[in-house]
Amino acid sequence: MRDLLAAEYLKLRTTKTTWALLAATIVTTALAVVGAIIVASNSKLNLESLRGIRTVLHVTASGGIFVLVLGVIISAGEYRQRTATDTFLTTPKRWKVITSKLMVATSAGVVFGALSAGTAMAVANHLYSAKGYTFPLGSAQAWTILGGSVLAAALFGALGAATGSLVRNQISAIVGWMAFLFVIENIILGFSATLERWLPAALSRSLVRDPNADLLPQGTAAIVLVIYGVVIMLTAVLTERRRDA
Amino acid sequence: MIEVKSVTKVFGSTKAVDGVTFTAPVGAVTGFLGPNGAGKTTTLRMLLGLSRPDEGQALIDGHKYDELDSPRRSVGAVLDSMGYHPGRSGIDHLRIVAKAAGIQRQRVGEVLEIVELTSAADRPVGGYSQGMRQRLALATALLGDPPVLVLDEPSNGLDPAGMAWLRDLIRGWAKQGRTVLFSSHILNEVEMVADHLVIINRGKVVRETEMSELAGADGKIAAGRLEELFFELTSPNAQVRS
Repeated sequence: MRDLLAAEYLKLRTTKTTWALLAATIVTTALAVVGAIIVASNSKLNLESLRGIRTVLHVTASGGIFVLVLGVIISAGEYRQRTATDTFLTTPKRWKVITSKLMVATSAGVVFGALSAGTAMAVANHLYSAKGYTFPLGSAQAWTILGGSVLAAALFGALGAATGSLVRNQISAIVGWMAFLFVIENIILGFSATLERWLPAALSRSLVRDPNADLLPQGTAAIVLVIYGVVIMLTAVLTERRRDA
Repeated sequence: MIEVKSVTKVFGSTKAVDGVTFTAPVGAVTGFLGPNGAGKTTTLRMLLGLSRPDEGQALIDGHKYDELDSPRRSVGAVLDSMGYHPGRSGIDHLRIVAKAAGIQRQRVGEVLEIVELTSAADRPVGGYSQGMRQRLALATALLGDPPVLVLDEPSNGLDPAGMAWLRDLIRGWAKQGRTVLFSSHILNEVEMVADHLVIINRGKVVRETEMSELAGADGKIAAGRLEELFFELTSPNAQVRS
């Protein structure tokens, strides 16, 4: 399993898409924080207040969508590039392939998330002083939000990899997720906010303490996302037992 | 040794492979011959654990592929369905397979030398010719220095010099005591390298024989003899003999 994980990391490192998605994640986060600070200060919000910090930092998870895409590519990309044959010849036990991809996508999510959190902090710190505020580096709230954003990125990476293994078609998996997160969840929100709280986009907002929504506690949100990931992964493993490569 | 025992694979209402049984002996080249769509690739994919037989089993040295301890060290395979990430270099592709299979990194350089691809190893595979991709596939198959080689249409994309080079390689492997099973629909090629012959048509084995049995009284295989036999066995109104 250790060799398999090392090989999956090597695949990730030797793919340009990985680096493009990392750049996209960081730029998106930086721009989102700039935007949030402009909006917050225009509305005369005290940036040092709890609500101010939540308003500015909750956007740190904006890049999570790119981690989800990376996760899908890690798994389904093997079918798109037709490298799955070589992968399964090396590792005929498919559950091992699926599991190692999930683990690699999750840890890539941690790295992407941590770099995004660092970027968010640096940008916020800079703009706070430019506007005459002091960024509360000692605030537990700020760290809770940033930690939540790293967790969200890790879990979105896992969801992406699990879905990619199940669906195999990269475009369908990515389009499906986009449609779900940005359209279907909004429609469900219209019908029932209580139900929508339990769905992935809302769970991601819970993890970063979005101040504008009625959300689940961070811990509950993380557990529910983990359950989604595990269910999709197990479905992929069971489906794979009956599928040809 | 490769043993395929009564293997059947059904796709929808079509029996792509129908009770196929044959053996590829150790230290010999077995040619697996048949028209397009006869079931050659499907049979090889079942042998390699990529597809599950509906009936029967295909064994490599007595084991199913997915039960082999170290598949890459036991079997080397070249299949038409193999692709490469276009942006990744040939050497990185080999390093990834070597890493996953627990094969020493230095072996990557050795197999690149064997397939004469060293000078192009650092270039992205997206810019490789069909022949270079085929050499990379052979290099991948050789990484684990396996005693068994399974090659599906290995000469695809090779130029005449490449085909001659591949023939020498295949003969050399058999001389070293390896088991080589290769599929082809190019009769000439099979005639030149195979010791053992399996002909498949419409999912069924229609003949399994030693090449030497096709020889005439002078010990040589007459020109056109294999072609004659092939058409006799695979023409649409051929009788299936078992």
